[in-house]
Amino acid sequence: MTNINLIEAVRSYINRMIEDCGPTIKGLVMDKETASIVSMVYAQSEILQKEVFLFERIDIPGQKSLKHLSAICFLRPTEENIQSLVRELRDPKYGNYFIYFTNFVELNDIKSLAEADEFECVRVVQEYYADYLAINPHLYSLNIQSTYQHNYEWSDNLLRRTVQGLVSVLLALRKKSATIRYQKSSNMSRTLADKLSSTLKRQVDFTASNPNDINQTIVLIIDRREDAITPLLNQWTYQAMVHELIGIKNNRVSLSHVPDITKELEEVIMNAEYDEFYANNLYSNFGEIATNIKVLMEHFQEKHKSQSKIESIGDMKTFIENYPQFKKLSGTVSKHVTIVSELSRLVGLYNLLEVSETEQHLVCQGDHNDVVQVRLNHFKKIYLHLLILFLFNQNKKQKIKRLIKNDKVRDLDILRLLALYALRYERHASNELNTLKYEAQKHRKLPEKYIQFIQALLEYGGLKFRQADLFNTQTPMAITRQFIRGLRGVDNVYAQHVPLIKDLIDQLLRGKLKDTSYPNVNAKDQVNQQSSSQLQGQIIKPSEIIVYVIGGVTYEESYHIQQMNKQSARIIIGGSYMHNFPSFIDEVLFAAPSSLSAASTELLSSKRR
Amino acid sequence: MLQAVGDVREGFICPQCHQDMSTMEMLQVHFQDIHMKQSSSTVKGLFSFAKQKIKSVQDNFTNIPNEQTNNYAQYFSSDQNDSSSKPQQIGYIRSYTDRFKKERKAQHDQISIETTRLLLRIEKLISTGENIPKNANTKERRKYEQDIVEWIDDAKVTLCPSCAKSFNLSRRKHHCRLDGFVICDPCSRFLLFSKARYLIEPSTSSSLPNGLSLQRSNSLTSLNSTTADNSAYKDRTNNEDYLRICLSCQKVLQRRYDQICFKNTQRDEVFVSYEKIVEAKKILDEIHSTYSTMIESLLNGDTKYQIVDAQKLYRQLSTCYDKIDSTSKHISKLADSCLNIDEDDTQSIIRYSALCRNMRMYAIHVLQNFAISTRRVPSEEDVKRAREERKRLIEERIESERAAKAELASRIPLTDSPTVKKKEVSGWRPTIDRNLLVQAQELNPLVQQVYQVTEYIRQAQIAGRLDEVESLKLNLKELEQALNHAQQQENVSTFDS
Repeated sequence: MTNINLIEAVRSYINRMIEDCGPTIKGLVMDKETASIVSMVYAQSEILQKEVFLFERIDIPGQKSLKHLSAICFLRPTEENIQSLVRELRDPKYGNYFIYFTNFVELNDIKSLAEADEFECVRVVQEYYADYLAINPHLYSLNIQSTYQHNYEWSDNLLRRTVQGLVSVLLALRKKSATIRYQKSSNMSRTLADKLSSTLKRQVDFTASNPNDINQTIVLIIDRREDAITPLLNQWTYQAMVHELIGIKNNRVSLSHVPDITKELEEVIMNAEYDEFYANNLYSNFGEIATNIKVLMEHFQEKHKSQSKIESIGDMKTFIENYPQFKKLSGTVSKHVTIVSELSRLVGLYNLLEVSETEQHLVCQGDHNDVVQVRLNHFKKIYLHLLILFLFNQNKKQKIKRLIKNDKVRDLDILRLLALYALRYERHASNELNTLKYEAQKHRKLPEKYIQFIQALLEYGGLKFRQADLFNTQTPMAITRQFIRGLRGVDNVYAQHVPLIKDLIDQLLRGKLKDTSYPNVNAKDQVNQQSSSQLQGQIIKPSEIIVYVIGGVTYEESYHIQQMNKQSARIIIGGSYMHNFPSFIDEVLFAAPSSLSAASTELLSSKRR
Repeated sequence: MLQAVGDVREGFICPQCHQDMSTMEMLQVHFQDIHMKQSSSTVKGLFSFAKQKIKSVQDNFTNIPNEQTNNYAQYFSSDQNDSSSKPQQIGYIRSYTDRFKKERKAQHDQISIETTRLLLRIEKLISTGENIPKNANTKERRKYEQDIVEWIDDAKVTLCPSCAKSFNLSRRKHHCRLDGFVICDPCSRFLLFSKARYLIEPSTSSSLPNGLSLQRSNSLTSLNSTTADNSAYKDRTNNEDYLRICLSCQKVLQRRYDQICFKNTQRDEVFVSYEKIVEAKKILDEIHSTYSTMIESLLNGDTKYQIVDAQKLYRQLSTCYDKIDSTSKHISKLADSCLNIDEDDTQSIIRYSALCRNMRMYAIHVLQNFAISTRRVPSEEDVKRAREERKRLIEERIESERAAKAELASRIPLTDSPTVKKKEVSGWRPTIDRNLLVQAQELNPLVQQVYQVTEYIRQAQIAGRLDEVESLKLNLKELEQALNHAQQQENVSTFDS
């Protein structure tokens, strides 16, 4: 149903480049970032079929002339790249140059390139807006590992890069303009929204004819700090799980740490574009994958049997005909069997089922007993819920304590629990975080970094910043919803948590996202104010929604968006980085106002108060 | 609710307190504000209330989401959905090519004017004719040179413009032959006539004797790259004519020289080999398609092609195949040798070998594709068997058709004799079996047509006219349908009577 596909958008750009170059031998000249942009959507073997024989980086020198090759230069319009190109053009290696920039280029740069082109070998200079990493059809990333500078502000470079990335997503999908809504509580998201809006307006070639068009793309800018929980959780869908437990980097998964791994499986490529099994199971949960992989194995064994039985020339022939497929299949099988068995090994080894269950309880239900008391007075109507919870709910603290003592559980997972506990009961009277921390220190040596992280996390996404009701504890509505979820029985205890972003999008779609907390950039203009306030009455139907999360997205969020898109929603999500817990720890620590020591953090925060 | 008949009220009346609300919205607000709260505060037994509440909340949270599970589409504008069946268009593109070319032209026009001017002068200066004095004859020569380029007055210049040293007895004044400026000897460059000729007409004098190799790194006036070489080189060039030029002229000419070299770079062996692969692949493509159709028809038992043809093509195919294979192997061997590359230039070596390896991979892939889709030439026996099989099938079909015909004939009541329409088919014409005709004469015209067409089909099949068979079969089908229809009607009518 959805015809917006981020991967296809980049692929069609690359196809066009290769076609325009004609049937000669080609070399693809890239920079570090564009190299990963290309590798996300194209396998080298496939691009090779189009007579692209060289893949190289602009910053790598070498004198040997390649005059009979045409260079397709696919570069970001950065200063260094322009300089490298100028240098290259003054002493050209290739015979022809087809230059494609991923974003807006300054006219000055065009001029200096023109001056450098003494040999008149440049054929084409164009802007092709493929300035983002397309991970799935609905998921993109800008691969910025640490967005936050000190005091949670933008650095000029990263702000520029982010605006470029978002602009390119819009233009690659043929959207000239957009209604931009942003999270008001975050300075960074406001700055980004303003900059994006002004950048779009400045590009005369691309401004839409009718800015008040209702059928518009909505860009929703959210700050990760609003929902610091999602990156803390263990995941149980395939893609998310692989990222959480092993780590996916530009579709590559390193398996070198797996015991008894064969050489060829040390690093595998997990690209849903080229791997049918992976594509079908990206969003399957762990139980489903186990079943599916069994089917895959059986299928393979059948094939293998028929392959190994070669008796006649006819058999031989069919063998040869099917061999490439067979080989591909066997590659897929061995890859996924290795990964899935590694995952289940880790799950068992680290006792992840129990950890994850505790995590989900912490996030989705359960309370301190006294919270139950308070609620009883206030909301009798949900008495039943509380009754059930009361019986159902063991003391979370006890549970965490027990896990702390369990040697199988990783320090990292203890940290998850502590962090969740810290966020959950941040301003709670009987917050026993310190007891838990002490307990944890007593039984295991948590790295200093981990203790700092909890402090930094409270600064990052604690109540002081947060507005959203992440734990559904504040409004009766949210509590009832929580209650219903509990009553209906959870399909999967390990996947009860629903990320904030999904709720926000639901609200947005139903016209219930408050303008006060998620204002529209253009609403500030006097002219538009009236029309936009008029529009508030009716629900605006966007043609699609593009979400950007400052500070990174998770595969769990991607999964939820994908589920919505399956029901003919048209949503694209992306962020500065694809986070898993370890990378999130790094980002939070990096962003901490003063991450040197917990004490100084406290000092600073007390000063601020 | 049981009110008197006269007390019937209309409008937005609250069902609980019978208050009249003027609008729907107000009613809703009223109901929510007053009665919902009321009901929640009245204790009606916790469980029943909880049940009710759960139900209503469930309605809120389950039903709506359930609707959603079917469709989020309602929240998105629909006019874009129309295009959803179309494939995604390529994103926006902005081209700077024209602007770039304009800038480049503006930049380089000035230089190219300069270059042309210098080249014109060079052409005059180096041309040899009877009335043109040679270098040896200095005085006349100088006059000749001054006619072409006006020399600047010596007296006005006291410093060499390039090294800024003053002229004296040991540092004498010289003139650049191309623009007439004064320079000192160390700053002079010398342009050999042979090289000058090459600059003017690169194509004709491409086989230069004097090591004017095509490598770009070579300086045009190699004698002057360092002043130290100068004297040595002068000795060597004594026997060849040269022009004294200044640094700025040399720069312009060097640029021209580089451009010429750039255009005339020699192909590496790799590229020559690669071109062979491309050629072979093209031929392979062509042959392959005809070959496949040939095999197809042979295996169908057609008589259009002979095995010999197929074998001939197969041989051609395999030569192309071998050619691609061997050439690409050769290329992959070149990867290790790395001709013409400095040993220090590791990046180039890596790049070069990657290029070679990738070419080989490409070739392998091409070959694999062909290997998979190429079927072997069927053996004599296979073809024979196929032909027999086909014959048998045809006969079988004829047989069954005949049986059907007989059946038909028995079913159809006799009618008066029909007119036989002859089908004209250009080139090939089915003939009508007289016997059949006689039989047919007793039949209904439709039946007769069926007969005829089946007969045509049989003949056409034997003659191997596949397309005719196809169209005839269509006809047959229509006829049979018509026949059935007629029969049914007849049956009905008989039944009626």
